[in-house]
Amino acid sequence: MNILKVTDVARREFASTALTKGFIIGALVVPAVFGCIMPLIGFLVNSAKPPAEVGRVAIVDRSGQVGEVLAERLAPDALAAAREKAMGNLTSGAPDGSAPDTSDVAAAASAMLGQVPQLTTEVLGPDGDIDGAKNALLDVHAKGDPERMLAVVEIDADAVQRAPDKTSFGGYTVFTRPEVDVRTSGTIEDTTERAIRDTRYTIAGINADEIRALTSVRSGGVQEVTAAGTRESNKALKMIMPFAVIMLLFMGVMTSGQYLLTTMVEEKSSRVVEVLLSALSPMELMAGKILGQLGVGLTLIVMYSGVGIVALVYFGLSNELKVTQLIYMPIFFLIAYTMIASFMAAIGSAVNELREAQSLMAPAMIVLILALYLSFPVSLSPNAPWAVAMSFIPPVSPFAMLTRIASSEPPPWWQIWASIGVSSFAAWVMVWVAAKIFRVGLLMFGKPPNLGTLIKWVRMA
Amino acid sequence: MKGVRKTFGKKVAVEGIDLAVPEGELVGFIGPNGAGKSTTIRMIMSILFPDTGELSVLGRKSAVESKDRIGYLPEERGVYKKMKVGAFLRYMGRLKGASGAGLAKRVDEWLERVELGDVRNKKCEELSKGMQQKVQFIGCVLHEPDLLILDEPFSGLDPVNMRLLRDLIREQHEAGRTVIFSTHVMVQAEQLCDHIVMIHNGRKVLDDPLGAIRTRHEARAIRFEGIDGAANGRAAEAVAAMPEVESVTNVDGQLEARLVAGADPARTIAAMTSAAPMARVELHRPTLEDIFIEIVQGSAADDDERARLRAQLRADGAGHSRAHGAAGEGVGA
Repeated sequence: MNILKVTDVARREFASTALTKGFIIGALVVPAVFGCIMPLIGFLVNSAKPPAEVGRVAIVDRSGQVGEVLAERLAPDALAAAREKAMGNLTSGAPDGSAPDTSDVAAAASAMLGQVPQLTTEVLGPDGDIDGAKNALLDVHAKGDPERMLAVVEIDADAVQRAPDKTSFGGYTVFTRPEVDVRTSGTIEDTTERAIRDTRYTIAGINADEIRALTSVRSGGVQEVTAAGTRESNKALKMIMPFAVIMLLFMGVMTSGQYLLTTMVEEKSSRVVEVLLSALSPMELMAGKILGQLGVGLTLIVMYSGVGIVALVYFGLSNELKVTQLIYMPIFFLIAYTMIASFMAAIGSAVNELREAQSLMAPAMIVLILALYLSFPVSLSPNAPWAVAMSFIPPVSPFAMLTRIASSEPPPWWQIWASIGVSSFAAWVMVWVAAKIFRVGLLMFGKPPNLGTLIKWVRMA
Repeated sequence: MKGVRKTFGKKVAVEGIDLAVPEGELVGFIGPNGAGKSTTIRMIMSILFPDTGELSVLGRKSAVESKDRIGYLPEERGVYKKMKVGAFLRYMGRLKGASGAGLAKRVDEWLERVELGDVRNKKCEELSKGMQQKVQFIGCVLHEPDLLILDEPFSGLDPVNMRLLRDLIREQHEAGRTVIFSTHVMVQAEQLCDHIVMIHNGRKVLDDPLGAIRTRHEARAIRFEGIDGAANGRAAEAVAAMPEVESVTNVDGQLEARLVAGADPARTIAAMTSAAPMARVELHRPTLEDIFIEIVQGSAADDDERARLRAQLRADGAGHSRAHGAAGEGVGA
């Protein structure tokens, strides 16, 4: 085999795939743009501070017991204090006797970013005119006018004291102008809910602060003890990591395999293949094409995993990266890619157009999708007998073994290298079979072959 | 080639071909479409491998070992549509073992020679079929091979480019290169070749120098064209009964009197011209087409069969471009 010629073919294959506008836009620019847009969107969302809403809130308190409490809590100073307290809880990470529920977190976030709504309240009492108050929401007022009615809160009569014939309490409804900022209406809603809850505790003779203290449990999280020190364990990342690694492998293998098939079919249908065969042996052509597309796959993997690694380092999660993953990922990619690529090359050489390749591609697609789906249970039980067995059965083996390596219980090194050995042998066999089909298929035109014909060609060649 | 045989399934494409092409010769493979020319050429190129028999190319056991010394223009030729012409030719040159700065210069020189200097930076898909064919020809001579194999090189070319390509092939031959080219248009072979190999139904039916073929197939037909149809009729009556006249037929509006072997044509010509006023009379030398028909059909073949075969040969020529890619299952022969 003439290595110079193989390199020339590989270089052309790589350039004709990876240096095209379609590839650069589809595979590189789009993810890069998304990568830039995501933080930008986050920045814009965070910087869109809620407007300092100014206006009135009418409280129609049918219960006659919550109105005043709520009015006090909706006062600008009280809202600011509540937000500060919530932020204090959030930043210290240790609750000071009150549970940081989701409304607190939301309040803390908006307190950090925006001004507290400047609300004046009027409590209308149990017989208050709800229709009149709601009509005031329709009045025309300039934005920022303190007389502008922003919201009407209607508290049910049994909101804090159960009706004798009922098992549950009543509640409340907030009516607003359509243009009121959702964060302001959210603040009114959360404050109302807390006012009702606290009033219920008081009526029941329970100290609200004591309840919060009792229901709040401080957690130091899960800490991993390693030789290098104790560190926080990231459960979500641990679950996602094996799946992400397999997704990366799948994407690399699938994309470059598809490109290989496409360029092969193009060369065949444009009849350039016979010109090439006058200069190259079928093996040199196939090897060059497989190598060229390997470069394409590696480019994708390096780029995407590079972005992933940068993100992990940026968010201080680099301790989730394992050196073994970085070493074994390219090895298993190479093996998985060789298997799939030789299959694709054989199919590409056998058919006349892409349409005909669909049915023949089914086995490769089934293997890839099966490997992708199985990675989830394998990552949960990486050392179950079936998971161990799968990591030695080609062509699923590279996927299963890499999932196990990326899991929380990596397999012993001898299993990894045994899997590499078995899978490499299988890849070699597949290249050998593909080369036979390739040699016969390249100059076959006319009726598209089926699997039976391909087997016949293997025997023929 | 010694006893080379190639089958595709049940179809025998090439049967027992023995062939030796001397160095420096210009040899034409002729025969109708489907005769087995391309299969033979593909086996010479080691793109296909014979079922039985042996072959050696440039002193080696197979062309694989000397691919860089061979320039090949296949019948089913193509280009990378999205590649620029200059880049495509440099790529082909590199694959053929040519390299270095000299390669780019040679590509430019060749493009200028075939009047394509201005398409260097155009994509191949932007070229006409004829232009692409010239580019492909450059691709097979760029590395200055010892052996040129051209499968149907003239198909799809206009007369001007046909002449240009013919001159370039002659030039390669005069430079000492061995040239093998195949065609089903026998006139092209007559104009260019030293040596003719005829293939029919996968078998070699003729393998001789062109001069020897002409000598062997002496002129045995007189073509007479009267000033009108009635004149042709009278001339036919005058010679039909002569013992040296084997048959009298109408060929393309002319009267053709075929003579028996060894007959003197002078008596027949005199009889024709005295029987009717003539526009033209000639002693017709057999063309390769005539010789092919004679060999394939044998001297006993009837006139209808000859006419049918001649029509088939000409139809092949007209419909050649259609025949591309219509090889059915198996390799186009």
